[in-house]
Amino acid sequence: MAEIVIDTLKTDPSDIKLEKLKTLKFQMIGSHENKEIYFNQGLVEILFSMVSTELDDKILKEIITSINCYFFNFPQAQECFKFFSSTFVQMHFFLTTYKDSSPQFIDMVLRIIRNSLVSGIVKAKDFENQNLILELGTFLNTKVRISLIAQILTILCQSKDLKLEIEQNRQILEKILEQITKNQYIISDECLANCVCALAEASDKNQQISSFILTYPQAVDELTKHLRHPDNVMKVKSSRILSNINRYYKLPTLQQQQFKWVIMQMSQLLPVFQDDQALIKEICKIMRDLAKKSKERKHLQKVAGDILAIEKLTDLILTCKKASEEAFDVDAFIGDQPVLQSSFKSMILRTLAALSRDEEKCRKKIIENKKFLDELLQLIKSANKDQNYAACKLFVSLSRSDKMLKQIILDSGEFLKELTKFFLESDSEPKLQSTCCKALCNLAFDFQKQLSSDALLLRKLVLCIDGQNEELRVASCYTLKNLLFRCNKDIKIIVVKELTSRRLIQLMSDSNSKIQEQALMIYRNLLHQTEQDIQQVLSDGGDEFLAKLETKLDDKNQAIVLHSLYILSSIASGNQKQKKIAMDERFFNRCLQILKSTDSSQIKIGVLNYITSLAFKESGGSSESKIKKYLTDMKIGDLLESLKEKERDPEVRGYIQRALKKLN
Amino acid sequence: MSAQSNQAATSHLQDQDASKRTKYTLEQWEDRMQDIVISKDIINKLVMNYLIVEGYKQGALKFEKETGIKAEMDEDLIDHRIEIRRLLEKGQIEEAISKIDTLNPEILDQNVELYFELKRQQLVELIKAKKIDEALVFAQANLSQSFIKPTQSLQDSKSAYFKSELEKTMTLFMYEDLNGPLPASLQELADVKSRQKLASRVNQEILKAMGYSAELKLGFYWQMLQYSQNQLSTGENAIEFPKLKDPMGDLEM
Repeated sequence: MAEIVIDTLKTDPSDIKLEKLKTLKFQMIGSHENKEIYFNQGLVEILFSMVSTELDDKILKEIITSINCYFFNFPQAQECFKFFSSTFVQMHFFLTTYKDSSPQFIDMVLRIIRNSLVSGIVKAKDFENQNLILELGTFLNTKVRISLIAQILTILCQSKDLKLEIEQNRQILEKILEQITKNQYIISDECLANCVCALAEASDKNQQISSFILTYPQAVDELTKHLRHPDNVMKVKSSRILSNINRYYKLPTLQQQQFKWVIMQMSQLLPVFQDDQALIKEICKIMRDLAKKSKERKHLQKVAGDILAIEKLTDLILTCKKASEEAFDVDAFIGDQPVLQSSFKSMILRTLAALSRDEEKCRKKIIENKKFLDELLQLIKSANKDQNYAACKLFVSLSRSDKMLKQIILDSGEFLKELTKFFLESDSEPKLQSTCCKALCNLAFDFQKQLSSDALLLRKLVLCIDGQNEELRVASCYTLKNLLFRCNKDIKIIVVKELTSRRLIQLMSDSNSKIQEQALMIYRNLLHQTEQDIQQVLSDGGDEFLAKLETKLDDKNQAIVLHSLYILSSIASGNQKQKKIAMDERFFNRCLQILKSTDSSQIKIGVLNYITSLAFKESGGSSESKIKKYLTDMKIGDLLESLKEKERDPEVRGYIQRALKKLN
Repeated sequence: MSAQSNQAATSHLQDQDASKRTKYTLEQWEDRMQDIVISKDIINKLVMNYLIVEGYKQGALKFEKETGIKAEMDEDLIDHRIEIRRLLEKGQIEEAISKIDTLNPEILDQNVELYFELKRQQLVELIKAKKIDEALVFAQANLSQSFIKPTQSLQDSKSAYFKSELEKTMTLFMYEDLNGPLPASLQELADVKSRQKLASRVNQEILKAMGYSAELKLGFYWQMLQYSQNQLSTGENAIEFPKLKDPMGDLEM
């Protein structure tokens, strides 16, 4: 091969430049060896420096073609390309500038944009505010361009802004749908697949585009046919589109059954697809989307149990780890994990989390796999944030199990230690921190002693309540509440010491109603058990607390009213002095009013519990008649009448009868 | 029972089975076929598909005028395909490669096997033209280095395949007259038909790369016909009927 001298390429006259570039192109296409020779001479850098200065479209075409060559069978060039990512982005301007140039030039520009996106050199967000979608819409006139543009759109959909632009550009969507409905027998399999993939991404979480596909003539029928396509990618992508549409507009039952059946069939074949991570990720994504609706999730969990999907997914995590240990991986690394492998694992972990969310059988299968638990612990410890977030999410699901299963998890490794560590140290990762907090919250019921003995943890929980992240605030409150549930006195002392009654009272008026609820529930737990517990609460900011409690009885949020009633119930179950406090007119009259006016059975039961607690014989013997006398003085006739009226309600009848018995 | 009487018994049973089979005469079969109505529109589309895929541009345009079936073709692309096919069938491989690269440089960059076939054919043409020195240099520079040495992108198995194919091709150097009798494996290399075969393959790859289906529907349906005939004439419920064995022929019993 006669080597071309490339050092003077930039400064050569146009005709010589063009000839050299053409020869270079012919030498390099298909030849790894020649690509390497010129790469080592700095050809790529020279070509990129010429892109921004060259005006002749013929020469530009050759330059872009030669750069494009390096995307094929030459992975060494990828690192070099990263330095020129902005040049790749700017190449889209050629579409407008040279739109009347040779068709091959436009095709080449589209190819290089596609290749730069597919290889990850540029990201979708790099094309935001660049008018690219509008430009692409003007080039949908040949099949090859439609195919290229569909591939480009598939990746651009990762950007919300660009997806919005696609949504507004109906022309592009129409052209793509036309290929699927009218031209499906004329276009190549690859072109068809690219169009289906583009629609799958575009319609994901997008009601407008889903609606457009639904109403486009024959689109849904053709996609339903593709559920039986011999190519698995087509099957899965078509399922995805139908699943996306079904999210907003219920498809006919038959079509729903068909795409769900396809997904379950695909998930049955997961071990067969082991090498095709993209396909597995797609199947998992659809399963996760289906799992968001409880009815679908129940069905999915049942079928997943029948086809051993849980076992197959856990095996994939374990074999995926093995593969990455054995093979040399040229992909980029984050910490010690290859990037592509990590996003694959994250997807599987999240799918397992979705499936095991509220199904003990699924959880049990995962927990009983010791090897998987070991791997899960490693993933939680991993330096890859995406992976340890997904692993923590799965742990949150698993930690909803019964105590015995939870014990198995904790016995298998230092999960508690790691989760606590992440919770304490992940201030810069609020999503991860709140997920760890939720996991700790689920463990708090059964492992109170271990968790409450960690002063750092308690301090952190209290600090998080004062933070900015609402999700984390709520999760922290939940955790504290759980720590206090039926716990012993020592734990109560420790928690209150960190939280302080002053702060707790403030939380009763927090702007977030969920936090208000949790604060009330914390009080319920603090008041639980003995008179001493009640006394402890009432003696520490008791007046302020009772004043706040009174206002809570008038709250619009029924849950808050209910918890307030139970707090009163708890106080009313104490000694005479405590009963008197609970029986105070401001509370009693209000409860009576609530009983008369409410339709909610739960609220009625709350009031009845309060009354029953009041009427219970308090400790110390002789004061029973004093309470009843007091009740009589306070228009008990009214109360009895109200009670007898509500006795017809089957949900509260038992409670009323108990209250009446006590009052009599 | 002896083997002979076994065979006789089986044959008797088969005769009995054969006699129970439904049989159709040629006339009966043709009558049944008349009942199946295939719209002319479908037939015309099949023919149009053939003309477009094979690159008969003028034929397609005329057919479009006659039948009203739209020739869904990129005229520019057809012209390129016709030219590339012409160059390949004439043995002008280098020019054909240049045209392919101009049309879509990714075709050969992504398809190592096809690129090898083209380069190999170029070598064969040099050997046929008795340009031995040039052929040897060409083989060394274009085939040996590029396709045999395994690289990060070229797997060992592919590299081994290319090596064995190149070795096979190099044995052509031993024969003075490539038009004379050659071993079968070399005959297909040296034969002019190899150019046609390669041209057909390149045509298909171009169509696929440019977003068009390369499937000849007529070919597909022919295969389906053969399969259906085979299914009908075997098994428990087999029937006897006239078959179409040659696409250009008639029904035969």
